Amino acid sequence: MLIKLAWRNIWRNKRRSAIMLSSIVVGYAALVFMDGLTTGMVLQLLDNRIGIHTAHLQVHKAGFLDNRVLENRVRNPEEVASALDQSEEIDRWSGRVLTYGMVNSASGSAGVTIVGVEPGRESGITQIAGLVKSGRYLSGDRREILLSERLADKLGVGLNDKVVGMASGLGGEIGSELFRVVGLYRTYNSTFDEMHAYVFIDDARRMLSLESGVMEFAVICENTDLIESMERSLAAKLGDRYEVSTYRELLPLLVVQVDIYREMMLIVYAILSLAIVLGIVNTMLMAVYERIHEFGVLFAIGMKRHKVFSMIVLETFSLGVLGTIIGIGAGAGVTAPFMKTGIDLSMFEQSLTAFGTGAVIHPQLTLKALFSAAALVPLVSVLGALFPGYKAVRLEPVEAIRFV
Amino acid sequence: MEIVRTEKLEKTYEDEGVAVHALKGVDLSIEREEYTVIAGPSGSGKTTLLNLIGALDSPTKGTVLFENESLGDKSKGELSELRLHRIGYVFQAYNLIPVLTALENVEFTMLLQGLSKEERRKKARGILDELGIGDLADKRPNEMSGGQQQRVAVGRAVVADPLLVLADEPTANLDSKTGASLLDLMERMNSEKSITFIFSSHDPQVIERGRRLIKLEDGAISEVEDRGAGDAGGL
Repeated sequence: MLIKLAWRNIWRNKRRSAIMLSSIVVGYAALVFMDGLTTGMVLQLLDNRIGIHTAHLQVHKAGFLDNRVLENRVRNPEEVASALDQSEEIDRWSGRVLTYGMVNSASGSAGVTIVGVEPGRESGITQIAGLVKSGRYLSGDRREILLSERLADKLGVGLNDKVVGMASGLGGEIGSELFRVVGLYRTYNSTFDEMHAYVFIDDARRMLSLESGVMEFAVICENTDLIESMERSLAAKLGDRYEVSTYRELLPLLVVQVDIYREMMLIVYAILSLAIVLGIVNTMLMAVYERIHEFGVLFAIGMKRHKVFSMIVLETFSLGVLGTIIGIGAGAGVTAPFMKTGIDLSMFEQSLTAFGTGAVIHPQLTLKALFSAAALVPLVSVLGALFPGYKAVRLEPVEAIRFV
Repeated sequence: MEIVRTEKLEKTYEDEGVAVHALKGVDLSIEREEYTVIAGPSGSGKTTLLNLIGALDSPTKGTVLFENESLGDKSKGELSELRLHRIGYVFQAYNLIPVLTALENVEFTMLLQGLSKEERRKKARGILDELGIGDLADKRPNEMSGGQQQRVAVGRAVVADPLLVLADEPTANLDSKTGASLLDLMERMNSEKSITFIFSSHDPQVIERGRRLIKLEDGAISEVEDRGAGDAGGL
């Protein structure tokens, strides 16, 4: 009957309870939406970096990541390729020749990372082939170069224009190759776009005076849960002459950034919870004040103070549970449609592409977020009821009865 | 057998910095099954005395003994237990819980006592029938007349078989016919259930029916009138 009493007490003042319920609903709905948006944003940030270049795993010659010089290339790529081909969990891999160099046009030049790739393999590793906005992806023919739109703008070139790639080759001499622009791409990350130009791997080798070898192997595992175990098994298979790294090791700052964003959400949770608690305290104080006389009667008929306190907590808790259920439902309802279509934040495109997420954010609704919001209910409701409950139980029966 | 004794009971309130002596050394003894009326003009200290006897308030000086145990020695929890199991209240303004039905209001005391739902329901229905308001079981207070609400309040006060019922101006908000009918009920409860009743009232028909009349004036007993053989307590 106490639950029934608490529930009916809630609806004694329908307008006030509705306002309190609304604040909880809006608070939790906002929380779920914010969590979804932030999770979506940080995962997109990470996925984009994985998807445009890093891949799930990379294999290098030991020491390459600390000193990215040509001498630290993988001289016998067949050995690594064979190990990769033998691993069942590995779906796709691609060898790359990487070098820092210059791309020069008639009207400008830019320092970039020139990435030599096998187009057939690389298009299965990164999204670059799918992000070509004009022209086409590399075909494997000689002297083709794929630039980003931003880099092309900077160099003042367009499709079919010629540019010269230059880089310091083996032995220190400057190697150069003439390329024709076959395509222009645009990723979600403007900084990346300005810094990466793609050529056929043999052209890159020729420019660098390399007969063979690659700088890195980029690897995709279909089952992302197996990335860590794949890293261990590949490392064991290849021995200490090679370094096998996961994207977490290759993008440490980004991973930290993702973690920080997630932790920041905890602060948002705390702030919103505090706002909800204060709303509950305010409403329940009014409710307690209005019912002082009634509490006196309850004391008079023998209701113990802790039961009066429990009743107030139960009232708040019931309202909190109801508000949370509706709030989480509303939050999920608002967030879910955008999971597929994404939220177009084109008005912030410049900053978002510089950040690396792209202008369209796809919120992610996770069970963790829903459960986190739901788990706050007992705490928030009880916290909100503590002070009003304390005020109620401090009343002396006779004073409470006299109160009008 | 004595149920309540007060010894040199004093109560002083502070009202905007001014000391108000509501009771000035009241000595009183109430025997079991008494049907006593404490009468007096407004401000004479009737309600204060009832509140002190009912463990709702504590005296400034003096002692209240309930079944020979001093209320001053009891903790707040023990006083709650006493009110829950031994004392019933009937208030002038009925004071039913507005969100509960008549049946649930009567059940509520038994819920606090920890009785099972079946037992509570059976006893509550029984008492409502006894009070002639069985058909109002599912009505909420705002759907009942004052007299009906006060009957429910009486039901709530007596359903758990208390030793003592304190009724503070129970007929003040009722017309004389409804008041008389309510008093009939309480007299019946007194004789059939052996419940001790103490009224505070200045309603003539309540005063008339009291088998013992204690008059209060300015916080002190001015007169005691024993009207029924064998019912009188000592002063």
